[in-house]
Formats: sequence, C-alpha cells, structure tokens
Amino acid sequence: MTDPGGPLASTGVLVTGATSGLGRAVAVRMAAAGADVALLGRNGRDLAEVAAEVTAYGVRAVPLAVDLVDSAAVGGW
Amino acid sequence: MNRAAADLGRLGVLVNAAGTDVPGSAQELSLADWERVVAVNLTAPFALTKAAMPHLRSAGSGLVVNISSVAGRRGWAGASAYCATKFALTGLTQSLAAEGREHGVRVCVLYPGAMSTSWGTFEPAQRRGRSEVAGDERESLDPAVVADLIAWMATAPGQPVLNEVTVTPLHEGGWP
Repeated sequence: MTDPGGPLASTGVLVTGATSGLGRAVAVRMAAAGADVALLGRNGRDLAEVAAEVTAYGVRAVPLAVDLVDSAAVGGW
Repeated sequence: MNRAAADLGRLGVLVNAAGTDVPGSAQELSLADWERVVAVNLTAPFALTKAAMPHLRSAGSGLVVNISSVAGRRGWAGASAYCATKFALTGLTQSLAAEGREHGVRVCVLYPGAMSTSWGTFEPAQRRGRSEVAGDERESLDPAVVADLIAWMATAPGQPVLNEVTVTPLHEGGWP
C-alpha cells in the first residue's frame, strides 16, 4: 500500500460508535488525515460501509463488531 | 483491544463516541434501561480506555477523547440515566487524565450541543419536543465540523491540552 501521508500517517485510531453520527464522521475525518482506523460498531453491514469510506483514503480499516452493552465482551476483548 | 492494536500497528488515539439513551422519566425507566445506558455510556469508555492505556503509554504519547454532551453539564427531565452517565464521564476523564499525564497521554472530554445525527432510538425530530432542552433547539451542529475539532486535537502538539471543550451551535437551547 502506498503511504497516504497526512498529519496522522502511521497513527492508529480506535473509534466507537463508528457506524453513525459523530463516531462515523470522526472515523472518516481521521482517515482523511492519514490514520489507520479501527471501527467499533454493532452492525456488520454498516461497519463494512464505513470501512469502505475509510480505505478510500488509502489507509487501513479494522472493522470490529462489538456490542458495548455487553461489558464482559468489552472488558475481555 | 490487543488485536485492534496489532492490526493497526500503533494505537495513538481512542475516541469513545458510542452513546445511547432510553427516553422517559425516572418513573418510566426500568432498572434494565438504566443499566443499559450505564453500560454503553460509562462502563464501555472505562473498559476501553483501561485496555488502550498500556498501548498509549508504551508509545509515550496518546489521546483519548470521551464524547459527553451538554447533558453532561446540566440535567433535564426525561433523561436521568443519560445525564447521570454524561456527568460521570467528566469524573472518569479527569481521573484518567491525571493517571495518563506522566506518560504523555492526554484524556479529554467534549460536550457537544445538539447535532444533526440520529442515534439510539431517536431521530432528531423525535428528540425535539422530548425535553425542555430539545424543545428549544433551533440549530444543530454538523457532525463533520465536530469531527474536524477532534482531528485537530489529535494532530495538535502536546501543549496546550484542551482538557474540556463545550461546542454548540450559535443558537442552542441546551447550553448554557
């Protein structure tokens, strides 16, 4: 993959609530700044959609389907 | 978290943006409703920041942004669980900031006013009229503009630190 550059190049960003609203906007904005972005959300299809928006900037997306209501899953994950 | 950090290479920024709400007065809220809001809005940011902190510390710098709300600065009817968790996020943020400081890790809390987003069980139109605050709503923030601010926080030098930021539309019923 070519280096996308940008102020956050080679920085990893993890965003929760990444499939909608502010979380989604943050995920895309970080990607635009060159960050690789891990996306947490509940819905796999929505995650894939945001991941596609992120990778369009030439950075990596790591979609993770997690329900944050499940604190055991959040803690152990 | 370890998997995410490994896949990313270097984890430098965590943005706790997930949030939920269950509408209704305290009389209408069940204990399960309360616990659901607490789990997503408060327990998850704690668990995720706890898991992320070793990665941020080992890098010698890092940023955690907790997304609160103007509901984290003022309580209103019909939102007891939501307001309680958003207020609590301030205490969590300050404690974690104090713990992270010596390791170069900044932990900040952002209090946005009304945003043109749909989340939880609400559409913006449903939120209007649900509470006295939402009823006053005349404008809303574009989430892209708030995301710009968070990106600035992530790219800014280590000093100064925006510990707490309240950001609202010019005409905002919820704040101050």
